[in-house]
Amino acid sequence: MRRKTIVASLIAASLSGQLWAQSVQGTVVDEQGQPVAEAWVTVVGQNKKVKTDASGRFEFTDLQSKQAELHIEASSFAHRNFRLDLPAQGVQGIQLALSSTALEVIDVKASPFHASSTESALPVSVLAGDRLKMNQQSTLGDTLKNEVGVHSNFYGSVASSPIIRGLDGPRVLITQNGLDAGDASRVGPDHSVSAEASTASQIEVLRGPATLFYGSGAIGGVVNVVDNRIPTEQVTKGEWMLQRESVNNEKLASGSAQTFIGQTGLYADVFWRDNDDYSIPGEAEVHHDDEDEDHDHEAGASGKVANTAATAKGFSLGSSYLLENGFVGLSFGQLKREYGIPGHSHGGHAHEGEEHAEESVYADLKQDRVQFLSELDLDLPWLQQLNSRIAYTDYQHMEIEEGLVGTTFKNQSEEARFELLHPVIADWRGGGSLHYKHSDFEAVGAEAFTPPSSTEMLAVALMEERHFGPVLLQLGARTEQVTINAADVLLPPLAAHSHDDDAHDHDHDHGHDHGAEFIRVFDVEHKFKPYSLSAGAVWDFTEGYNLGVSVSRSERAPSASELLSFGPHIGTASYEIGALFSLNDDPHAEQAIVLNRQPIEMEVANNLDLTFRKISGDIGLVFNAFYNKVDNYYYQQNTGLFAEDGHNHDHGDEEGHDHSGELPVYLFVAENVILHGFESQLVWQIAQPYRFTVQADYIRARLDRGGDLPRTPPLRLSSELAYEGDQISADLRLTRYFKQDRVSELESATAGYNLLDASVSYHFSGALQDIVLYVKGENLTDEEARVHTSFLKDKTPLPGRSLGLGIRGQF
Amino acid sequence: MLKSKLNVLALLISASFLVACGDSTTNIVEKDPIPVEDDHDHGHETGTGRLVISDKDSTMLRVYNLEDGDLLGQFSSLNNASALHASASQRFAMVVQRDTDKVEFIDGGLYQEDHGDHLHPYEEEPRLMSLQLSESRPTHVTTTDEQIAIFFDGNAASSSVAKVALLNDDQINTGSNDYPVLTYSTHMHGAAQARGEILVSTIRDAATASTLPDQVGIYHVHGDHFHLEQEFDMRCPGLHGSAQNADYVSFGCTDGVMLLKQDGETFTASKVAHTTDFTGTMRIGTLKGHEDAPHFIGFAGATVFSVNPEAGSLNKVEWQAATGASIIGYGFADHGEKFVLLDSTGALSILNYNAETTTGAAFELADKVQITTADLTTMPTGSQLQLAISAADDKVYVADPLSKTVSTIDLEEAEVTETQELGFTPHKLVWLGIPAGHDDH
Repeated sequence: MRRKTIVASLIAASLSGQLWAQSVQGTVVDEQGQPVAEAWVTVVGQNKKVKTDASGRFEFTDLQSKQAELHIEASSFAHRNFRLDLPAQGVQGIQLALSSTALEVIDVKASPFHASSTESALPVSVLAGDRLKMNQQSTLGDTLKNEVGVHSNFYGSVASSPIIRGLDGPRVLITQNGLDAGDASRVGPDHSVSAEASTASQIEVLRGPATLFYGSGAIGGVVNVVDNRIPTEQVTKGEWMLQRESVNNEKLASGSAQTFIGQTGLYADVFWRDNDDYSIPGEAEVHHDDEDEDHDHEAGASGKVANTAATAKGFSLGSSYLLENGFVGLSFGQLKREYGIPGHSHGGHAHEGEEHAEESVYADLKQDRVQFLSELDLDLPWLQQLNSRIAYTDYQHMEIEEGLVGTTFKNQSEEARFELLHPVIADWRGGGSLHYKHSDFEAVGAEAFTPPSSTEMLAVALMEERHFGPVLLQLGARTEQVTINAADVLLPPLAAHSHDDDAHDHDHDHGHDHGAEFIRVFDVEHKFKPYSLSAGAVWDFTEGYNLGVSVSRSERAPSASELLSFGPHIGTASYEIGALFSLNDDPHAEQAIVLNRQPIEMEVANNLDLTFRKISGDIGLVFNAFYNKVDNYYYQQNTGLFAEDGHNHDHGDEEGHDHSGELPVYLFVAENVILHGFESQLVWQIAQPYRFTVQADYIRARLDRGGDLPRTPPLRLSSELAYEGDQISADLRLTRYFKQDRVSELESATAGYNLLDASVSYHFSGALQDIVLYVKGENLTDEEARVHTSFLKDKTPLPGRSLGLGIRGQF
Repeated sequence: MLKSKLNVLALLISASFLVACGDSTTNIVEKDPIPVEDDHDHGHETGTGRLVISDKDSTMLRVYNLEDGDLLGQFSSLNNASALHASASQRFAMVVQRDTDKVEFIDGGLYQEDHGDHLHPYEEEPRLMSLQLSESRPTHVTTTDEQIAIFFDGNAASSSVAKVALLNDDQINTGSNDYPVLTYSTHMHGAAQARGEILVSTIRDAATASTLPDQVGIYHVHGDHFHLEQEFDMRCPGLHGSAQNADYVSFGCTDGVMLLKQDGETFTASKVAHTTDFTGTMRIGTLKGHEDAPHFIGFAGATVFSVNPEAGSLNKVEWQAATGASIIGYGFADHGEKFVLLDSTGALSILNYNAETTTGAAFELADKVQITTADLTTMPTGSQLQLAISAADDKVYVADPLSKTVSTIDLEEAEVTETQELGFTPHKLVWLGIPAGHDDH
């Protein structure tokens, strides 16, 4: 109400505008009228930013327009926008009031617009600060698994990547400082994400289609890992961390520092982590056929999950030139990681009496990344601001079995994005973006299930937003051209067969007698022109509340691996065949798989997102509901066939029917699916140091024609009690993962489980820095938990009880 | 107000659904398949192919397995072979017996069948086919991937007219006589090139004295015979030698190389005149082409020319011929990437072919392999070294009547890798087997 009065009086006072500079001077206050210090006040669309002083005062002296919109953000207050008319004499002494919130509000960095968990039409969440430090894990999926709407596809703790609203793989884009991570993690769940959480400053999650900013790959959402490798301000700061975990003996050391010399900003970070195989309360492998009943969980039941050890190290160096009107910077980062690949035992059940000799399988990953970032406030009549982001990434990982390189994956990518923001025109803010991405992907070796391909994307996008009274309207459109070229797509003769007993007449009537068979070779070029449209509105319908609506239509070009794959993929324990191929209509034909003669369609997602927020006061609430209808959703359908895994084991003395060395054949097919669900988060600031959070998320992912999609996250409910004192902070969190029995064909249901986590931190100052000493415990009840979203559900349960001890500092 | 705005949005969104289609294209080009080498012993055999070798001293034809050198079968033709040619798919050997007016066929036993989604390889015993062609003086045989044109010269002495038989491997396999035949009204030492339902064939004015034709016509198949659809005014005096590639058919004339460019059903004639490299009565009398090679290669005696039909140019190929050497064997090898020349001194010249060449010769000498150091002047009358070129890999084979051997030459290594004793005097030889793809060598 207060704001309306201010605005009304300002409008009344406004006269005809002049073109010379205007000034604004005012104070930021809280609900009680007390000044708010250290609040950032930004002139929206003009890239001017100041911080309030101890008495909450701020001043701008050189505003170029007749109107200005101020965005104010301050810790533990809801962000807020104020629109002012600027008379010739300027504005003096205005009071701008913020309301406190129990919700954590951090701006998303990788968006040209302001977006935070309380302000945007689409739901976003940001993990930063102490919460990031306490939650960081060796994999991105496990780091984010406690965020609302985000699950981990838990790949035996070595390569977990995030699942957003039930979507992962090529539908969730992983970016680092806003640019594609450039790894192979979108191709297989056993490929780790090449971004490090311990040196990140924040990790942003955009749930729902974020294709406008990021491209058609982001149909399900985006995870953006932000660090300061390119400094944007003249400050000297640093942080470091040492930690040890009990469940896998993980040792972590990381640190980053930033400083400046004159106008040159400098940054460096380094990390090292090393862990052994992790411990579990029960047996690793589930035997669905209960034939060995006497072999129950007693002697030697608890153990470790083989091939889950990892060691990683990396560093980044960056420098920037800090200008009056922005910055230009360049960085280099290198990441190396060796990690075991669990569940890679080729179906070799250890026979009785034999040693359980797991073969050692691990991946050796290396990534070099050069990044250029720049933001320049140009103040031109047609171009307010130019943001440039360019990256070159050289990625490779080798899968090594028994000391021999089995398969090498390489991804060389270049990406450039330019955002051109225009000055405010008739209250519309926004601009265009030009985006180019090129990736040369190659897999060589026994498990090279995808042929070499190069993918090129060129896009233009337009994004605009405007306030209409209490309603913020956001519109966007993007059009892309995606080209996938693969010169040698292989269609090998697939000796696939069904395991049905009544189908035994297939036995080699003329099958193998002719000796030589042929691999057909195709030169394939796919061209797609996906486009996306979105419209969103945030309505501040009453003080401290808002309602967000977002509708979007996004198209996604299927990825090279979804189209062109043909081969055994041990990461998913399946023989994967891309959508370029289809099942032979003639079931008696010798060749089970033929070239797909049907056109390759793009995936089309039509999404409706509703958000209700209660922002101010001691109770904050965010509730999102979404309905996403995806046509031509590409997913892997079990064909019921089996094919050889490509490993020539000499199984000499096997009896008749051992199917080890065979994999089920999964074929990428496009079907219409419907995903809907909700996420909710309630934060109650009980009394000053005590905060209670309840979170829930649920998703239903089903085929339009009936049936469910595989690996859909179960309903999840979590509650957390946190205490934040001056020196001691602590939290206790109980998460219930419910049973998931909505399963796809040939998928089994997964039991529910509870996880109890807790941490206590002690904050003190010493040696010119703030130091935190902490202990944390995870899975305190040592629950045996199997993750429904994991490809290795039956092979790798979650780690058992773990205690961690750590210390970190900040200066 | 908000409500109406949302309605507008809803309208915008629903309109976009309607236009959302057909923004994706897929272009797939099938390339040559890669043979899978399986674990069975006979697996490799289809890879290297077989040789059919005729005997200088008898009517015997022997079929050898190149994998292990085993003799797989021997057959007797009616008379001594004057030439051996491979059929269109290189499954059959055509045993041309010019002087006795006969063509017989031997099935090499290696072939593949189109099983819809893949080409299935077969490997069988060689056999003599029942089909025989019995027209007068079968001489020039030209093949494409799918068709064979056998030019029967006819015989002035017996007043036999010239004929062209157009057949394919299926007809050889089934022994069918329903292939079309072009029957001329006179004899000629002519040449024909098959282009699907069209046959480009020579025309001789019966009133002239020469047996060589000097004109070219376009013939269209009509059931079991042909109709002359077009007769080119352009003359090609002393026509001898013909070849074709994807777009052109070429003929050697005493005054240059006549070219017919095919564009759909339309043929356009042009001629590339002799350059200053031609002296005296030099003329191109032999031409060779390859489906995928834009250039032709032509011989004027031992002088070799690169023919660029697009540019209309003739460029001399420097292949460093020994003095007095004459070309006795030749052909495209290694899937059209190389061209080999066997000369009378026993040297095999390996030329690299560069399809991109626009000026100058497209063939460049890469290597020479001396097949034999024996004194080739002691060669029995009527014998000479014989060349056979594999379509499966980069090997060529040279039969030597003097030493009664067959040598294997690896073109990549440019060396003789193996020499096999035959135990008889070889006369003609031809390679049979399954042509391999371009990318799997």
